[in-house]
Amino acid sequence: MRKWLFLGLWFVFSVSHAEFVSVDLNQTNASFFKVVEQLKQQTHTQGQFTQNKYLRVLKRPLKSSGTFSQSTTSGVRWQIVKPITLTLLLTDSELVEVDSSGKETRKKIADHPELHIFSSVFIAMISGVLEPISAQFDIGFEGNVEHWSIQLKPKSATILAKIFSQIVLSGSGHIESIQMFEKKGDHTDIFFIMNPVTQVNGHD
Amino acid sequence: MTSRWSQTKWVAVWSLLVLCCALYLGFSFTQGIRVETSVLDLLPKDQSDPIKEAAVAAVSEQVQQKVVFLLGHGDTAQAIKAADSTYERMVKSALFEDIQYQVSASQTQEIYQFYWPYRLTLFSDQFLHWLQIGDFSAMTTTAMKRLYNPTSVVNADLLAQDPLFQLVDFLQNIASASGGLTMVQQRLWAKQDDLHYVFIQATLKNTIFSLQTQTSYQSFFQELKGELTLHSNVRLLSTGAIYYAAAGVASAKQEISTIGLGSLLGVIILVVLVFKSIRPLGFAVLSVSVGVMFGLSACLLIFGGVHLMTLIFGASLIGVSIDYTFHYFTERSAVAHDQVIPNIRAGLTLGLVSSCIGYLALSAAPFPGLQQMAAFSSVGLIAAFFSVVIWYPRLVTMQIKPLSPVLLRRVVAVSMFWRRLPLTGVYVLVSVLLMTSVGILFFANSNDDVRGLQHRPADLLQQDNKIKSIMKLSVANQFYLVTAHSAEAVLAKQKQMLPVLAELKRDGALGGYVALLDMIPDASTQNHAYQILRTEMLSPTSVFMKYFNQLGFDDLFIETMRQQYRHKQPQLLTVDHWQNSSLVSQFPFLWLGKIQDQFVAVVALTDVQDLNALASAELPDGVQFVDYVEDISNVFAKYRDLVTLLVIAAYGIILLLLIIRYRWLQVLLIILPPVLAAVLSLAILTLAGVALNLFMMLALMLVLGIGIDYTLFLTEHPESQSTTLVAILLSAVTTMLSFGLLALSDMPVLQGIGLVVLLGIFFSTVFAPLACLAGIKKREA
Repeated sequence: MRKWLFLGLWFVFSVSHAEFVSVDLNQTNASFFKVVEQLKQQTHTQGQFTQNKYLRVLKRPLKSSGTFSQSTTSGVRWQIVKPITLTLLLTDSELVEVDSSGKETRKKIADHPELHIFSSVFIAMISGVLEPISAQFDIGFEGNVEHWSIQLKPKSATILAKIFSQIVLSGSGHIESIQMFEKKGDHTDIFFIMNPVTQVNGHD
Repeated sequence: MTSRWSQTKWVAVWSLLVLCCALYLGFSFTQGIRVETSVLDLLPKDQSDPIKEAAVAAVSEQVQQKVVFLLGHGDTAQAIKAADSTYERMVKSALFEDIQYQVSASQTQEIYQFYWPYRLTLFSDQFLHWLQIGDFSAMTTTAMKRLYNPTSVVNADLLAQDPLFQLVDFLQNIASASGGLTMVQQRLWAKQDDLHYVFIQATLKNTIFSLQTQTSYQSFFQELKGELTLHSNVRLLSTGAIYYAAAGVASAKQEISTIGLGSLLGVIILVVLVFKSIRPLGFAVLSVSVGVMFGLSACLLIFGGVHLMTLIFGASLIGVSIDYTFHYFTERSAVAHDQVIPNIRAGLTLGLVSSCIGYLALSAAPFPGLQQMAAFSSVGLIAAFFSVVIWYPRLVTMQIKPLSPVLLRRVVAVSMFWRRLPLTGVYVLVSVLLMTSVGILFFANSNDDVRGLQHRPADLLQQDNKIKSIMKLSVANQFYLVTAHSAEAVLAKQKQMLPVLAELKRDGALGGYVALLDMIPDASTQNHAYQILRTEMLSPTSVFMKYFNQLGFDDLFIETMRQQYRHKQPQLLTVDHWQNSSLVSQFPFLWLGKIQDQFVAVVALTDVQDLNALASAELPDGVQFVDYVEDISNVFAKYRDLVTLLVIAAYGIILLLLIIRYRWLQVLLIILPPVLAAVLSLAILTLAGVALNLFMMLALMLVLGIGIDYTLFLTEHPESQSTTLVAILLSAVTTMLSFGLLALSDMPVLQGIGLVVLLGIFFSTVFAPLACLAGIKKREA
């Protein structure tokens, strides 16, 4: 019964917050549905990316580039080549960082719940499987199956709403860019160039 | 002899006193009586080390008031709903002063703001290492990894405030010590067997040892449980010291009523059989309850509360003080109304004095529990004595039928057993018994482990373990106590301990530790790191300038950044800052402040595996390993020995008193029967494989006290031996009935007491007639 000494610790040093997600994707727009189906069926994608991070205190954006690959089974592999060498492996259960010397840092999502929300949003965006995060966003759609953009606006009660004003995914057939707009004026743009994948799905 | 008038005066005085006592008790009850239940509260304060004592007290006080709830459900939304309604109920109940449930963003903000002014000197261990080896580019590379990682949340404000992310890193380093709970939706969660548990912790406002707190808490908990099980199949788990305290009280209440009922039934049957009237019973109840009232009042007055063990031990008063009633009535049945008290006064007084000597000897030990029992028992006995001596002659107006001659004859015949044996035979038998028993006692085992003595119901323990397994955490009863002449020196000592702790952790002796040093690095570490960073920051060719330029900060910003480092002396985070912040309430036990010119902190340990390794680790001066469970067990062992000595000392004093009044042989015969009974009982228990503990020695004290009463009465009243024998038998049977029932108790402490008293009183009664062996002759004065 003297075991409750340390419970106080958890309250103080849990630095961030995360949300449970539930599946509730209620969209009636036919084009939207097709786009989502299309994205979902690309069980494996890979290519190059360029990321520009615009921060108000910096004169120019922080630019990075590299390659990425994604599959529904093994998660997202994000390999930054410039200006530093860093490989990130994101899955639902862990986040692995491999630096230029090959040193691995593993963080279990269970131990670092603060990682969960951002990695889950990122995985959802790259893979186009939006169900897991749909509870946290109001989803809007523009365009048609060939040229589309999906707007994700965080629902007001969520932690994400404190950070992002909106996230815009756009593409044609496959995803071409992600733009994340933050409330305080910073924003991040990621552009993708897809490599053809040998296995082709969804276009009969 | 006392005149009629002065008798009336005494009756008035005594009645007034009893009335005052009743009023005081009534008043105390309305105020709420503090009833301690933990065996630990019986223990003496460890005077040899007041700092350690204060530390243990502070830590246990922190812990005692805590209650933990886990609300589990397969569906997280359901679990949250249950937790929300639990939280609402908790707030409404007004039982708790501090409920930790939803973690607000402002709490996180508060921590950040607290550390912010000291950001220039705080580093995670990794950063410290890089600073020490001068690998500054490792620091900038790490910062860049954070910047370019698409999943990390870095905004302009954070970057501008903490461009190397050193404070963020420092805070995350602390947070990683957290354990099995995770934070989701601003609540803390644990998961086991497909159930999601929400965690709530609270501190009870009032002491858990007050019966009022226990009652209101229990009705709160029952209602909560009822509501949760009625509306959903939420699994409610809860633990905390209050459950054990309440269970202790409930169990003791039951035990006390068992003894009470057992005694009462026994007494009623016996009284009716012997006196052929129910009326002596009323008088017995009167004197016994006056005794209990005074005993309780004495404890409340002297100690401000009463311990359950005292109450239970005090219930033995019934066994002793009822003797007075029995002696009165057996004598009354034989002689005239006004002859009774003069006839029995000497015996009663001697009995009272010998019992009080015994109890006083007990209170000579600096042991609050013993002192309480001694106060309760001696004051109670004195009160019962006065009730009999003062009230009875006035109140007992009815005729008591002479005792049945058949009964008297039988009793005397049985007691003649000893006299029928040849005298030398008796001496040989007694000597052999005594020596064999003493011989056996050399093989006696003792077990003073406090864990065996505490009453810990299985269902509570099971729940406790379940919660532990869900939260994957077990905080040890052991800790390191760090003392030094200044707060800073305490931190420095903790720093010196780090390699030892790391080694213990590596060897698997312990799972982890929590120290103030995690939250406040020592001054030299802070300063040293600052100086290294400062030199590099101020150098125009520094790695950091390159980093700032590469990121694209403007020149003004970079200059402002560098200006922060222009002071040679940084602003260090100290324990004082910490103490004056709101954060200190989250970790009250880690820093105990100033105790007797020394500053004291605790390094708490989790998942302790190897006590010996922890105790024998080489630590800096002023650091000691505290294992208070072990300490308490040692204290029990020490006091078991002490009580044994006190018992012997008490007998020595009684012996001296008796020598004034009786001849040597008679003194021996008065002392021998209870001593033989005590030794024989212990020998039998030893043969049965029962391990002796402190409380059994206390019970032995009781046996000796009651036993000597028997022999004294027999010695003092040779002329009415048969009636005295009946009174003794009556009292023995009553005592055995009540205490014999204790032997069946759930509480190990009570069980031991019950066994010892049962055996001891039985043999005391059997040997008591030995006192009449030598023709009774008082020493001529």
